[in-house]
Amino acid sequence: MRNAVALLLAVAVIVVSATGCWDRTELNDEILVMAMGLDAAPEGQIAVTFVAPIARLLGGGGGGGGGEGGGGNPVHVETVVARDIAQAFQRYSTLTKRRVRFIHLGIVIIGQEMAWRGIATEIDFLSRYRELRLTTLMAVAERTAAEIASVQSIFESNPADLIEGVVRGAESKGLGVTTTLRQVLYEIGVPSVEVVLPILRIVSHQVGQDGGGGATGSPDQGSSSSHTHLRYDGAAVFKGDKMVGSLTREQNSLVAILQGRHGLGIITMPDPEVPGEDISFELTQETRRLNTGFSDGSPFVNLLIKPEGNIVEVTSDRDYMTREGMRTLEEAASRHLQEQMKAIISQTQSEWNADIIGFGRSFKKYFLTEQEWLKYSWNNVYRDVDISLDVQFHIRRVGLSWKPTNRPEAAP
Amino acid sequence: MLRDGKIDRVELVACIATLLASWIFLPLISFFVRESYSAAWMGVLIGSLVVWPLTLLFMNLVRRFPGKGLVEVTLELAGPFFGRLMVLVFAFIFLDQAASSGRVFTEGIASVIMPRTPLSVHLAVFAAAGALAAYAGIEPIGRLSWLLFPFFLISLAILLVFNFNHIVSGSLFPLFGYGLKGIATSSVEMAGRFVAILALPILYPLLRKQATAMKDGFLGLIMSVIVGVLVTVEFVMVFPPGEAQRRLFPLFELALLVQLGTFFTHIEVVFVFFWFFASAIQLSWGLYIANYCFCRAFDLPGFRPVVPIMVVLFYALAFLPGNVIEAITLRVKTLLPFSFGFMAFALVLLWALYPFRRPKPAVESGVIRK
Repeated sequence: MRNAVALLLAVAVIVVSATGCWDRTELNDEILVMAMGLDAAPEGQIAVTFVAPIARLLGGGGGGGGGEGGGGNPVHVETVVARDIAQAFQRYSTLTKRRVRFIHLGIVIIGQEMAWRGIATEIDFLSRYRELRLTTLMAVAERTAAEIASVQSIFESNPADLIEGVVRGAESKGLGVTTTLRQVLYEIGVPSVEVVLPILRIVSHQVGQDGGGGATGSPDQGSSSSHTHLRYDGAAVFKGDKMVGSLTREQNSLVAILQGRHGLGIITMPDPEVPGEDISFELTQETRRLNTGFSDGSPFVNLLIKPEGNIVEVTSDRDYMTREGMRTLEEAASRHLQEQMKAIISQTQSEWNADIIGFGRSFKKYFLTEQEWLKYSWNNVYRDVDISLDVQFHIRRVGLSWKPTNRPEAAP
Repeated sequence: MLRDGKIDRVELVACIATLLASWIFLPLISFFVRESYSAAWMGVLIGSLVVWPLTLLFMNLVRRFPGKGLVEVTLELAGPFFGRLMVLVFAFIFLDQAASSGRVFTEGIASVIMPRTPLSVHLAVFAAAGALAAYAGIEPIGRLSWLLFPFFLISLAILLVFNFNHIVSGSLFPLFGYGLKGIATSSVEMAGRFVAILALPILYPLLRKQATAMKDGFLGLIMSVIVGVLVTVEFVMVFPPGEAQRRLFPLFELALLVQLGTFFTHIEVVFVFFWFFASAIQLSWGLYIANYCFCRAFDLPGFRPVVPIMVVLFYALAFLPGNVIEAITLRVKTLLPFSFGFMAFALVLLWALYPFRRPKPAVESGVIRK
């Protein structure tokens, strides 16, 4: 009897307390910040842009300002100027009784000016606040983060989705790699590797009668309109916590290969035998062997990269689908990639003295203690490191076609 | 009555492993990285293994007193006054380890998951769970340990595997980090945490199979060493040392990185569920052993009435430091080296006293009287 009563009591307590109703939070009671922009502001202040979708307007899903009943933009974008992010967060929170949360923050964009000025002091909040995940993506705006955060696109009604999608999409298409907050935090603090962040740029398209590039509208409408879109536009190179230069999209793609982080992507190069024509390869995988050491006290790096890919387009009428033709293309692609990559490495050494490939990580093993490593001062040594690169490109498949489409039929 | 309880081999292994491995919930890894940088794992390895020879010597001593454990042997060798004093220090070490683990673990929960709930409530729930198990006695704690230990290991294994993709090569170099001094400091602190292996000689009289105690104890130790080293190595490789020393709650941080596609996110709560139970079991072992030492020292016939007192002491000790940094620093820089120092001191003292106060076999067995 006693046991039965105890069991009944226990069940009653669990049933009453385990419903979770006591601390329920409705979606409408919260503001979920999905993207954040950080810009430099006058007098050493910071302009923080918050991008948060408005739950009740998202259902209708109209593009660029559509929403429930077409009433209003489904995304709230607000820029707050304050002394630091925490203060901006507090001020932003006062705009509404809703609770501002960062649990869905997908990306943080840093304005160009702030990137050049240095980001270390500004991102402490990002590493400390409990709701922020270190998997949050980071990017640099071509001009200001506020501009990127408020972009209106025909593809996505929510700029946060758009921004994150563009960055992730660029990685999956081999144009570069994503960089997370976790990577930024450790890379700005060590001399063995430097930060590379994607650059985002707003592109305007004119649609209509007097439209510029990419006009698709009907000319007889007699009017024109424009829409904007976001573009992955290369990468920002940092030295420590300060931006020192930038890479083009093509260069960034090659940096990803050098880092051994390249995904599936397209590499286009000039046709080796027909001037003015191009050949494109789809990279499928790569093998990377890094050999480092010291020769007569001077550091050297031997890097062997073996990318593999498939031919996806040949614009010339040259038939490469023979054993000799394959060899010719492989050699040409190897040579092309090697030259391009060497140029990038040379630029990182002579122009920026910034080890964005991360060769330094491989040199740490030659030092017994961190003090010795820091004393060696890789930051200053990198400029003079003897780096040799060997690229051996292999073609595996040629798609579904034996011959180029513009090759005239001829008897063998 | 706890006095009558016995624990089996597997329960002993789970007990030792849980007591010794639960330090991974604390920010000790970050602390070790601050002291020895990329060589933090060495401090963990050396510190956790260095206690084993000392344990062997303790066990060797205890075995010379049939039917007795370290507490009884200490009382016999060091006398009623100094013996009790030493046993109280043993009790304090276990209680303090329970309190520090409880405090810092709940600080982690408050910092990461439930910031609005007062710490006193977190700790009260934690204390209640531990106290309930300690009150139930050694056999229920033993069985519960054995039951939940595999889940604890599985949750850790999943955590480690799902963080492989975040590993940064070269993070374990330079091999000796900040140098031998840093490694030595970390080793001493780690050894202080592993003083909990004294549970083996203390609980010796309560073991069902005393003949295999050393083997089981060693197995528990090795399991905890493997867990500790693996977690440290992975943490340092996922957050290279420069950043690892800034991260306050290593295990939480690793859990926060786990993401399975875009759908399975925020799964750290699953890990925390298992960690809570592992931590609560460690707490109940700590409370039980502290309780056991206290009651044996003063020859109390029953243990249960003392459990609430121990819980109050646990609660008070846990709240002694004013903030989380103080809580961590006080334990790591002061109490852990003290624990290890006391372990070594007790060993030397007891062995020094042994030749003079060794048991007289004839009198003990009653042969002379007969």
